[in-house]
Amino acid sequence: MSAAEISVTSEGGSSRWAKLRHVGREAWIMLGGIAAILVALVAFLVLPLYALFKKSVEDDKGNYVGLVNFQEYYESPGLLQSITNSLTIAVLTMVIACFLAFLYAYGLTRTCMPFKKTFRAIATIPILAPSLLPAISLIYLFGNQGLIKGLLLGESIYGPIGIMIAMVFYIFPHVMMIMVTALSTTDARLYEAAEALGTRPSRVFFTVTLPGAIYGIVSAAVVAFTLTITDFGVPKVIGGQYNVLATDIYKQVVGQQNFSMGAVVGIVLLIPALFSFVIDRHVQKKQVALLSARAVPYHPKPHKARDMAFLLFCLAMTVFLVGILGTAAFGSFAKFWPYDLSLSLVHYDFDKVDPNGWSSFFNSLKMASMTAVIGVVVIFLGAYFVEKGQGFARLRGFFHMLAMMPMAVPGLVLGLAYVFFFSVPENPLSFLYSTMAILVICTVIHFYTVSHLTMLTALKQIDKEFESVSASLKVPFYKTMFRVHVPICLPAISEVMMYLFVNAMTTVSAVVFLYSADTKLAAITVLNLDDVGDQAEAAAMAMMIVATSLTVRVLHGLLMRALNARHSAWRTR
Amino acid sequence: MARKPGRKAAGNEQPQQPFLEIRNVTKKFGDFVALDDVSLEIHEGEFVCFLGPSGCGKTTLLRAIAGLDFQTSGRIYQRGRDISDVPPADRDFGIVFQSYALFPNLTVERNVSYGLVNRKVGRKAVNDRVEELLTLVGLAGSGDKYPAALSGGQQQRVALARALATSPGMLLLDEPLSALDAKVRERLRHEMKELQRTLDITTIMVTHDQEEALTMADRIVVMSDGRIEQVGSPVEIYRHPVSPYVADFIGAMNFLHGKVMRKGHVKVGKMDIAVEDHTGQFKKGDQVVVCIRPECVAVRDLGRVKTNRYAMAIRDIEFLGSYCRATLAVGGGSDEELIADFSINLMRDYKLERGTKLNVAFPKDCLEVYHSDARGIPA
Repeated sequence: MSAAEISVTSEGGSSRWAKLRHVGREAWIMLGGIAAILVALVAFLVLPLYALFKKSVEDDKGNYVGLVNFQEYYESPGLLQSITNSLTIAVLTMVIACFLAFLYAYGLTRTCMPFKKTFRAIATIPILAPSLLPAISLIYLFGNQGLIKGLLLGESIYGPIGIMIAMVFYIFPHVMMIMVTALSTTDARLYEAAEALGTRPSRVFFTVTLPGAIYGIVSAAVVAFTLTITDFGVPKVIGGQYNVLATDIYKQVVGQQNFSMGAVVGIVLLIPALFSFVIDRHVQKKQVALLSARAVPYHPKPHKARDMAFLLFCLAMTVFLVGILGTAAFGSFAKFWPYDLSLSLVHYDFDKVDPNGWSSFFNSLKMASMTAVIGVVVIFLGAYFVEKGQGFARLRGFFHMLAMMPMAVPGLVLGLAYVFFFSVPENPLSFLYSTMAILVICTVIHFYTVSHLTMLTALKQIDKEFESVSASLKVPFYKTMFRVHVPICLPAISEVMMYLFVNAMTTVSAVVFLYSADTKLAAITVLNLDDVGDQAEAAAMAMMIVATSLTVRVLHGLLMRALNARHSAWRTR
Repeated sequence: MARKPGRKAAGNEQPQQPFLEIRNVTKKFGDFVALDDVSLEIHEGEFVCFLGPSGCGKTTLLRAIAGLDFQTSGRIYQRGRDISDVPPADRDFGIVFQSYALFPNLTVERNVSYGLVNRKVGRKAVNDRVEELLTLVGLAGSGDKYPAALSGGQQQRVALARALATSPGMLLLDEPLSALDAKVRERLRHEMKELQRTLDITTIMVTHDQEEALTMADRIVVMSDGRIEQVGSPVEIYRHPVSPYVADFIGAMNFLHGKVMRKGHVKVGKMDIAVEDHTGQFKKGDQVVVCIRPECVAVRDLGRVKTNRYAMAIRDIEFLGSYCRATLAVGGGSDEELIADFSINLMRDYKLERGTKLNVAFPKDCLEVYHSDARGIPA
């Protein structure tokens, strides 16, 4: 997550409408653009959330009942138990993942161990897979038919242990990347000063390293907590009888059709997410100020024992990460786990076990492509208007605020909100319900914030006077945007497209409420196949998702290389 | 100096119409007043500098003239046309920024032709014009390079060529030289001034560098806190600053605190300083400051000089290469000091060193007097 913060100066003093005197044709175009995206954000984010809140204070017939639903929720011991369970899992996972990710990131940034680039790439493997995958793998390994079940010493993998291990796998890359950033933003001069004063290494660690990285660590912890508490795929597959908030929503809504109670759980789930969002934004702001422009980057010096220790640790993590992925891959190819481990492609014949088998995969491809293309256009324009727009400062500030909101809304909650909002026949937008379009819209909104910030960071690096120059040369802003801003931002554009595509391929939480028979997605099929016990087919479909994501990632890498070659012509002397 | 008849006329008689007229322009950002009721006239072909420290409103005024930020109130006229509410795209100006704002992904040629291409003139005409401009700024043959391949000074010239490409009626320069090293800056200063003279284009430059303003401008507009302090030629501004603020901001200045004894005479310590008081605004007993520039403190040929002649001792000498800056003790029981710039020749001829006692004189026409409650007197 980039720490881009927008500051929009408000122009007080003059009356709001007096400013419209100056609005030229171009400004109207810009205003139109902002307004269009703003209306979309309101229609596809604010109003659905409002519908969710409304639902939580209504009974099943739509009468206002105040906080009765919340009271009912509070009085039902099973549901309350879920909160405890969710918090326990989230806190423990957060601690474990942060500890491991910190060591891993420390190895990548502060040691001279070999294969750093490889380790870095390996650590991002989990991003390519739906969160269902580690859970399935763990069942292969430690489940009732598990290969190495004995290692658990009689404990069951179905429950908190399984959830936590799978979660650590799933959130590891996110946490690790924040840790790497935190540990990279340091000033070598602090270490030189400490060394010059003859400080012991342990003291340097606690007085220089940790304080320097503390905001990043807090940020990583917050992200770990939020991802864990809001993820639905892992506990659904491996949670067994251990209920958590995320599975409760699903059960209330899909299982019992109890929409009001589902809405209540959704709001309960929104609280920790909102809370961590606020902490994260606060911490990010401080992080930025920590590194002055004149800081000297830190280059570690070789240290045999330390480098070896971190190499071993990173190797162990690699075994864990690759092992989980490998298990799923192996499980998908094995004829009949665990009795006949000979390889075959029989489990990839999805149409045999699920009427929507292969078509769901192609649906996913279509949905992910559309999300990437439509998303990047909307998000680029939005970020452009926020960063480069002139005038309408308040409107742009409001727009930016809305663009930050999706990060605080867990996918499950967003999906549920969509159900409440779009399924109502009186809603003029209800024609979208159970179409591919709604899946695309929901996914774009779900992943809007990070993409918006990435784009904003890229745009911020572009001279803010380009618009002024363009106006003085009487070239409309949109021409300059296409001729200058878009080419310069191509790396960020490619980055955002990949991010949107991969997330659209792997996401389950938001779309699980929204798909229809015709628009079923691959990740949903994984879920369904696992639900009915077709574990190998589930693993196979998950592998299809991984393969697709990986392909897109490689394409992105190649494109970046080509772009770099071209862009270097703009830079070199 | 005034080689062009048009400009001469501007000084002597009322010209038919100013090129640019700024009338009571005020700009507020929230509660902060960036421009406070600014009025100014700029004539055709003039090179005007807005000079002042950061935050004085000079850039805000430039951006208001360009239409990049609109004034909160007041009007702006260009050639008599009210452009107060006209968006920048419909105004007639070219602009160069401190960052140059060259498009990094376009070659020099395409940067320069950026505004031309949009005018739907023929490709041939565009190419010719680009070539002409690049020659004009001394960059012929660099058309197919990317901006990053050029030095800062060269980038600056490209930005200038781009701004001039569409033959705008007015050139706006926002701290165009600030990002360059001293040597390059000095050379470009000269070149830009030459170019401006050749093209005879009305030019407004914003700068915080007094040397830049003094060397380049026909007229300087000194600003502080959103207001215009003084408008005048470089010589006027330097020789006769209207306020202690201007006196202190431009060049070095001694401020001697004293009291008016009788008309035209100020007592500073034991010194009786004869000053000119054309306006007669100083009455007996008024607390005033008497100002003299360090280089105006006279030492040579004092034989027949009677007025404002004092004996002083050199307390300290700073060697500054081409001259020395001496700190003089006013003496006579006063602990006031003043600085004086002595040429290397003078230092040698008079064998000046620390502790030397010498006679100095304050030529009357070099002195400025201000009330001691005037704004801008350094503490």
